[in-house]
Amino acid sequence: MAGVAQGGVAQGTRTRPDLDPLPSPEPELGTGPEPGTGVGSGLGVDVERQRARLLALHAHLAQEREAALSPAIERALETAQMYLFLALGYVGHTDELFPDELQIPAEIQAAPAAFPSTDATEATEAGGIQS
Amino acid sequence: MAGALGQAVDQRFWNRATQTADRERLDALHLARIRHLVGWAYDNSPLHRRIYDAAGVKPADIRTWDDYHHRLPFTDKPDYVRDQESSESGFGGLALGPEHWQQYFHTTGTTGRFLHEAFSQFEMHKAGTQLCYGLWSQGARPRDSIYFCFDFGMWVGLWTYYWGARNLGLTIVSGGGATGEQRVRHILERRPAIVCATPTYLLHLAEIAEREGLDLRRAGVRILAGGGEAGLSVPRIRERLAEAWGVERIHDAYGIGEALFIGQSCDVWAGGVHAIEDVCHSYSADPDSGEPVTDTGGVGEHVITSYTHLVQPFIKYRTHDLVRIDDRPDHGCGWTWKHFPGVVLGRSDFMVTIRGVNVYPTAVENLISEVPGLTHHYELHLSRRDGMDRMLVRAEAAAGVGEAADLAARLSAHLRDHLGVRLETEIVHAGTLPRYELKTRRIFDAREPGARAATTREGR
Ligand SMILES: [Zn+2]
Repeated sequence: MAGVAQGGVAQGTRTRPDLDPLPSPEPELGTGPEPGTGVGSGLGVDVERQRARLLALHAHLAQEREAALSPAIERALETAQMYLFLALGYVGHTDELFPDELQIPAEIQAAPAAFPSTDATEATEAGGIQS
Repeated sequence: MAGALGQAVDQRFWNRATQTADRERLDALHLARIRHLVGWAYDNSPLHRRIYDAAGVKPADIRTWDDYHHRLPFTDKPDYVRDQESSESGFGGLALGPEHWQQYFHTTGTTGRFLHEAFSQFEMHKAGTQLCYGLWSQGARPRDSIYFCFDFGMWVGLWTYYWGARNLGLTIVSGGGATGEQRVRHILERRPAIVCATPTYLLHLAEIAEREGLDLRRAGVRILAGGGEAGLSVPRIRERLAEAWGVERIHDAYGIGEALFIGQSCDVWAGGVHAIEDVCHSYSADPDSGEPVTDTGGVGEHVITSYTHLVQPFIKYRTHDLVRIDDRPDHGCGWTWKHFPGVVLGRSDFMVTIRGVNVYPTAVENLISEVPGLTHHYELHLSRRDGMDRMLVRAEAAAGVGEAADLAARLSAHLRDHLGVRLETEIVHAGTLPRYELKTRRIFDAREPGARAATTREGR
């Protein structure tokens, strides 16, 4: 778990580096940085926390998919990523538009492939999201 | 599913976080997505790159709403049709190739040839979510059952309803391959909570039930769900449906084939839909000047950017539907998403919807010219009965051609093959139709402007 979701690593890769991030309309106290760009979705603390946890979970799934032992497992995890990306849309995620845009950061690919916990509390702690 | 939700979750909304967010936050999310999408389309869709290059616009130029409204060019169905006709793939505006496709469909084009559409698996999943907001609002819950009165074909709308049912967790009962009478009996036996069909077909089933002496009100259906036609925004149609089916709730969905069902009715306002702002951006523009309509209550052409359809991006895309958009609705449902009272008020072109299928007079004209034995003289008569558009194609036989009935059948079959719907046809003798010295009049529209849309605040 450690090393997976720290410092925004687990939160996808910005796929349009040529576009400057825009400021959020009214930064909310305690909303925290938007994973990947440093800009919040502005939808509230709880929503931002859930988004960070979902991104961490996505990274875990991607990592496990890399280590899949059969096409069956690989495909099952790919499908899981699609459903997970729906949830990212619901929490105002704008860094990527569809799951294939999310890339696995090199730090994760190099990390041990042990399947991490999906416990929300643990993900939150490891993701460094401050309340 | 409900049991797994935390105590603090607001059960009234499918997705409260965005569904009730304030306008400024929603607009910020839209702008971020649009900027990303423009850049992505520029990099991956040759059609978009050509359009943007021709306009002298680069993705990095689109930073503000003013840039979006005034610098980014519109796109329109003919752009995709032309691209389709000149591409080896047979698809227009592609940004992702066949290795990404899960399913393809077609929608009516403007020239008499279908516009082909391809969707990835993720896109079909996401297209399904578009239906969940409205169905949830009407009271549909996981493990409720939904009966589909359709044979699954090439029309994408039904399939997205199917994916919506899957995403919401409904139990699906297929009425595919059954006759109307069989469907009535299925519904009485299976007692689904929701029945999904076009408004025309829901009325048709009610007539069958009456003829057969069967009472659909005993089926216990709670919600009728449909779309694809104007019928559900017409109070008289809703009243007839509610009476015949004994339902409390009628769910209306508004969509366009390219971006799917992007409008859904909420539980307190019938005859209108909210834009589903998680999946698209909507605004209206003057059809002539292209300027955004800014006055409250002003009618303009609906222009959309889809966040669902990415195999073929649709960005600042002209729908040609005339709408009135309330940016800050406050009619008690709690949704902050833009609202379209009356749904579609008309068209900025002459497209009509016949039994759920969009029909362009330009396409009909092309197809008439392909039927041997007809002159180039014809008339298209548009009318509306009980909220449903109808089109009569009156064509003229060439001199010396045989039976009019045969010719009418050939014309009808040709139109049906290429449009996907049967139109009324009539063949008249050679020389019957008027010849005009100046501008030829071929389209006769007997529909009353504004007769279609009416809103009520009752949720039914
Ligand atoms: Zn509403």
